[in-house]
Amino acid sequence: MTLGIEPATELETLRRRLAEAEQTIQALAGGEIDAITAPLLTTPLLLHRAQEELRRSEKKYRQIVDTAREGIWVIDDQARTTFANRALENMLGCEPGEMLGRSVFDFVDQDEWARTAQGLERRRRGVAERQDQKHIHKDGSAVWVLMEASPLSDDAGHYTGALAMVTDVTERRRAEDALRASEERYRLLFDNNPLPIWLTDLDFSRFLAVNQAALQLFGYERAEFLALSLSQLLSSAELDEVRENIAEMAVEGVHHANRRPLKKNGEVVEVAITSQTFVIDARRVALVIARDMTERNRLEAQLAQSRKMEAIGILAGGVAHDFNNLLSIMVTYTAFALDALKQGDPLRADIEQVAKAGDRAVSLTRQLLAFSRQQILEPVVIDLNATVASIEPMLRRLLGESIDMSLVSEPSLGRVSADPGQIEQVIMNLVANARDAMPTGGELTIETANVSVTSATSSTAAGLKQGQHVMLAVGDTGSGMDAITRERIFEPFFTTKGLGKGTGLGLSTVLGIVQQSGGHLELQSELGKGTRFEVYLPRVDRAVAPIPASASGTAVQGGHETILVVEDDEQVLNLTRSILRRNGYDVLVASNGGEAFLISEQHADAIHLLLTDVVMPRMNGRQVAERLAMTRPEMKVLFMTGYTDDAVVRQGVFDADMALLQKPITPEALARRVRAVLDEPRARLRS
Amino acid sequence: MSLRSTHAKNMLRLRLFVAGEGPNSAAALRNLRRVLAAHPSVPAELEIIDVLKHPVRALDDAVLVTPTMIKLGPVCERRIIGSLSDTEALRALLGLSRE
Repeated sequence: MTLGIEPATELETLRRRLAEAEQTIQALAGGEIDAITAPLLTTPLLLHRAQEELRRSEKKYRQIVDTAREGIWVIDDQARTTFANRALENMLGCEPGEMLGRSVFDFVDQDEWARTAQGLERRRRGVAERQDQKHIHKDGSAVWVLMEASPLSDDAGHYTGALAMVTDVTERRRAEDALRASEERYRLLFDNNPLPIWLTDLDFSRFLAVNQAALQLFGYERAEFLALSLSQLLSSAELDEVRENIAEMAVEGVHHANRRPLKKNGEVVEVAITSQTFVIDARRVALVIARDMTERNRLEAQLAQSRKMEAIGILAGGVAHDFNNLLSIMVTYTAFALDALKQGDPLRADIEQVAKAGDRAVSLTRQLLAFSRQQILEPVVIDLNATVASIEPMLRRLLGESIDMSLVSEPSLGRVSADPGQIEQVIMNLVANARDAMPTGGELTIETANVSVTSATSSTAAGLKQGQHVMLAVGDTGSGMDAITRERIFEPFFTTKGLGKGTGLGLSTVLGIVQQSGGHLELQSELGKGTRFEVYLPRVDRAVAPIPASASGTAVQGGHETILVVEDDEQVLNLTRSILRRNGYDVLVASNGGEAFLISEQHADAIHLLLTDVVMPRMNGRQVAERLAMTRPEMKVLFMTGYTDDAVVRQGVFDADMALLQKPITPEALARRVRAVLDEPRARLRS
Repeated sequence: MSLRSTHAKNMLRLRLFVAGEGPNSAAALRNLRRVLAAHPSVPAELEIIDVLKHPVRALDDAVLVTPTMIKLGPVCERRIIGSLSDTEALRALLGLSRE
């Protein structure tokens, strides 16, 4: 301030200074000062600074705490909430501040109380830990949280409560539960799958998993199976093949194959496998699904075998049918020729050779028909013990002295319905077969028994129907058969005997007769251990039929009755006429039904017998017989046939009260049968 | 706001003493800038001095407390202390009329 200054200006300056001072005081009083910079202080003295820093720091932490996604929970030593951040409040559905003062037990699921109490006790002892805990949301839903709890203590080290970081893991937990449920479903699919399934490491060092069906198939316990190596399950040849396939599987992903692994008990099981390659935990593994083909393959083989037999049978039957007519002619005229030759005629020996060959051809044809199940069976109720007894002397002669024969007969043996002649044939063939298996002698046993097949045992004897059966077994101590022979033994013309020693038809005939009789044939044989054939026939509850007195052996008697012969084969017709005329009969002939009716109308006198072929074009023998019976009810009927496949003969079994003559015709058989039918008390045609 | 060196004669030359990020200092700077921003046609030059970093400058200008703003020119030197929250007083001191 100087004198030179204008008074007004000076006044103005003073006013300004005063205003500044006032303003300064106001600012000081109003706390608008941050620092004092006194000349003596090297650093300015900051006002409010520490306080401000603290406030700002608290605000910062408060911000962090409130924006934290995790819940923060502080409790006192009585487990009462002293602090809960927004995240925690939201997690449990509480309003801001609502949790304060409330016990943790208000929020923990009741199931978890004991565990929570134990946890608090550990906190009291200074233990920090993390654990999953189930809490209850205000809306009642479960909230799964991961708690990271640590104890709090004061400066003196006394427990003052706990602090926990709380993470909501409900979603994770739900996902885990869903995963667990899904895994459980897949496990069930795997474990309860009816198909055997297993998982193997692609280097096949071990099996990783196996289901129940697979364990059942192979007969192992789970632990045993998982400890197996592939070489214990496969033959070495198959093992090599499997190893070769690994490369292929790697490329294609899916692989199909048929395998023959071994069960625990050493049995081979045939399986069709489908394996799928994929990666689990960076290891290439194969999921293998197997189907047990053993039974199916066995059935397929059986089916193929029976189809083969059927085809051969049809072929053989067809040939035999044509042979019958040819043989009838050959055998008959040979017999006529022999009749015409005087004893001692040089030609006689030659013709006798022809007759013998003819007889053998007739027998072969019969066997073929038997095998093809096309021969005519005339079943009656019989006792197999009696049948065996009746041919026992013959069997002993057949066996010779080096073989001991023993009969083991069931005294109360059931009855069966069968053609006695055919059953004799069966026994003879089996015994002959046994003899040939024991060239150096041995023992032969014929056994009979009653066998009851229930559902429980039917599986053991495949093909044997449920019910009561009568069994006849022929066993030997001979050479036995290997598996290949066993498979083919019933095939016609299959023979183990040397060339020319057997026809190969014996066992085929046996099988054909047994099956046509509604029975079943079982074979048990092992190389070096002998063979046993078991014939099963259905048991019947009827009395044994009286055995008709055999006419063979006695001289054939002729007659003077009138016989009408109907036969479409001209040669057979002539043959039949010749035989009958030689036996003194009056013979009328017709080559078909129409002719037969005409002859019947024109013939005024009696016709005592109609002898007719069964299988003829247009009208069969039965129809002819029925038509003629209307005008000639007293006329008797005898059918001739070499074949069973027609409408008259159903299922190869002729009606029991029809008279029947099986071709090929031989003079003696025809004459005998004609006489027998004529002598019967009444006509035997049933309409 | 940019500082201008032209129009030296009419230019507002201001010097603001602050103490770091102190709340009143920050508020003073905020308030000052707001007022200056409201008068873009008035050229101004503002020097900000942090007494925590440059305590000697405070002694040079005999500044005892922060925040303190000194108007160096034009015309006579004027001082104002505090957070400059009284906008009217600040405007009067700077010689700025309402626009």
